[in-house]
Amino acid sequence: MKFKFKYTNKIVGVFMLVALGLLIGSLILITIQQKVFVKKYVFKARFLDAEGLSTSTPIRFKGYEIGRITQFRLNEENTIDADFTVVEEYRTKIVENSGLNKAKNPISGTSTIELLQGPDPQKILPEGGLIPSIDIPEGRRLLDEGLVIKTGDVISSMLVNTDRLLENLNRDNNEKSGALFRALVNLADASEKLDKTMDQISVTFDKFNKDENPQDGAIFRALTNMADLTEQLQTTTALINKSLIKSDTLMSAYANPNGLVVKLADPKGENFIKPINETLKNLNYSLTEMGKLLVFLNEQQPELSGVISEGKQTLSTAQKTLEGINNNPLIRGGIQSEAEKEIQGSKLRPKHTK
Amino acid sequence: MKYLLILLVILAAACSSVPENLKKPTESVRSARDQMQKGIRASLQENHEQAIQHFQTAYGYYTQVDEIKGKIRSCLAVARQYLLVKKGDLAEPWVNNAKNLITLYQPELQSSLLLLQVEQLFISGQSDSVIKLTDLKFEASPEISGQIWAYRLLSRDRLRQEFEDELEELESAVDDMTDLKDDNELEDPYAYSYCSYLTGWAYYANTDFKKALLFYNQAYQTDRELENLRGLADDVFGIAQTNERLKAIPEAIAGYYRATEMYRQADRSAEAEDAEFRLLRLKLPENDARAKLQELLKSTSSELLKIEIKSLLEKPDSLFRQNRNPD
Repeated sequence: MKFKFKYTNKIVGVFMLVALGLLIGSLILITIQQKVFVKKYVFKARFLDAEGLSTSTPIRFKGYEIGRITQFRLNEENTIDADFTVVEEYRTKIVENSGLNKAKNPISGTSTIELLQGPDPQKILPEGGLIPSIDIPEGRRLLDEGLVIKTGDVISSMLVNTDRLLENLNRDNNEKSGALFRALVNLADASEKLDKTMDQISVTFDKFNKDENPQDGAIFRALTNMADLTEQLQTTTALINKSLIKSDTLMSAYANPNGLVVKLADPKGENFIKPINETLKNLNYSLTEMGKLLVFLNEQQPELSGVISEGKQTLSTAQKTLEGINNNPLIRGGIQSEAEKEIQGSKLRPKHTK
Repeated sequence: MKYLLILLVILAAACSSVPENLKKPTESVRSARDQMQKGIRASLQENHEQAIQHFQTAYGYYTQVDEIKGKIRSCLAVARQYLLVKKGDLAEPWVNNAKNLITLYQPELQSSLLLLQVEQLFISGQSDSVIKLTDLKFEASPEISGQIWAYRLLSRDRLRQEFEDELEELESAVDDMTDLKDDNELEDPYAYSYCSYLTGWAYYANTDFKKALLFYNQAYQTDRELENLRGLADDVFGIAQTNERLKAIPEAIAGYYRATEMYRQADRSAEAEDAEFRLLRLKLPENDARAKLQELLKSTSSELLKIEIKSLLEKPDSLFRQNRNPD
């Protein structure tokens, strides 16, 4: 089907009018919104850094936007001087001893500047007056003196508190910052004293490790004496140990006295051992020769047995012959019989004294 | 004649065939005799305890073969050793045993028992009883009778009585023993040397020094043959003492010197000191002798000898020059 624009001019005109109407309405709304036509008062601010700052960063109070940063610059003190404007409606909120709390939401990455109003709402700060950020010393003094109370979103406040906490933790002698810090200061003092005590203990232990420090008191003198005693005891123990070793050696020698007499009688072996060695060699030679002789005799044993047997027979015959001769009446009287000695009597011999 | 000679040869050969094996001593008897000899040697060396052991062992051997005579002799020998060590109560059973055996089986050994009884009485100091016991007539061999007369003579001396016929009887026994010795029939040569010594001693007591020297020398010769050192030392001492009396001073000095050495070798220190004292006394007034007397005075344990030495040392040298025998 063929599409045809029958009312093209009219439709375009309507769209144009609607668009223009929307544009004008938007401009009006924006103008109203931006309070372009509202009177604005200029004040000065000072920040620690320019992190999160821009020329349109709003300044809020109790959640309401009461002004905006218009410009900022780095000054000679390396802090950031900034100008911000406050609409007339909220001019009276800017009082003396007020502060600014610049915080960056770590989640959204956006920075917000919160006006921390001073304690006295009647003391209106004149236009062009300085309101410090609480992250510089002037603003921190306001917090410390309790002139302003820090507010803001939860995370930023938590971060700021954490930051302040860390800052306080890094500071010393801030027992007035609360119970925690008083406890921490006391703990720090205690730890310092403990450290000193530990130093003294360390020194004491050094003295314990040192020797010959009798000037340091009775305990050290006693320890020195004890050290001397233990040293002497060690020496004595060593001597006793040596003695026991010698005794053990001696007892071993007595338990197994082989060679003990030799060591005592002839330590160099010149008097007994060597001559005995020579003698034993000679004896060994002699035994060898004797062995040969015995072998020879053993070989001759049958003949020797025969000789002995014959000798026995001969002796028997000779005995009978001698008996016959002895009993012969012709010559018996010529043989002198050996009288059996019979000794009787005590035979006590007297002696003359003169 | 030729046949007669042949007959005699056959007769001699026949007689020679009679065996005498039965007369041979048995092994136990030989062992017993060996123990008796060992006991005698121990007794001569005054080792009485060992002698008792040997004699008792001999008694055991004799008992094995019931050798009565040997048992009696060994009993008497054991009893005699107990008497010498002053144990009379232990000697008594042995004496009684010997007495019973002698009475029953060997009455000819009564003299041996008599000798033992005489010794027992003499050792116990009963000199009167010795004389009374020996007044009775007894028969014994010269060795035993000589010793019995010797103890009677010693008892007389102890009682400070004059010798009666004891010396003649003793000398007679010595003469008999001399004959037996010459015939090689002497059973106890120690008794011969002992009786010879006692005869010399008795003649010395009777101041018959020449006869005393004769019998001392006889005893000396016998003890030399017997190698009886203890007896030999007494003989040499008696000879030296007699020579001193006979004024044979060099012989006396030599004799005392030899006696001193022998006594020392026999471990008889008291007798050695006595002999040395007599030697040094004869050598005075030599300075060496005086110094040695001083040493002897320090070393001796005999109080009697100390008194004699002190007395001698107090005498002037001039006395010894004039008279070599100050007694």
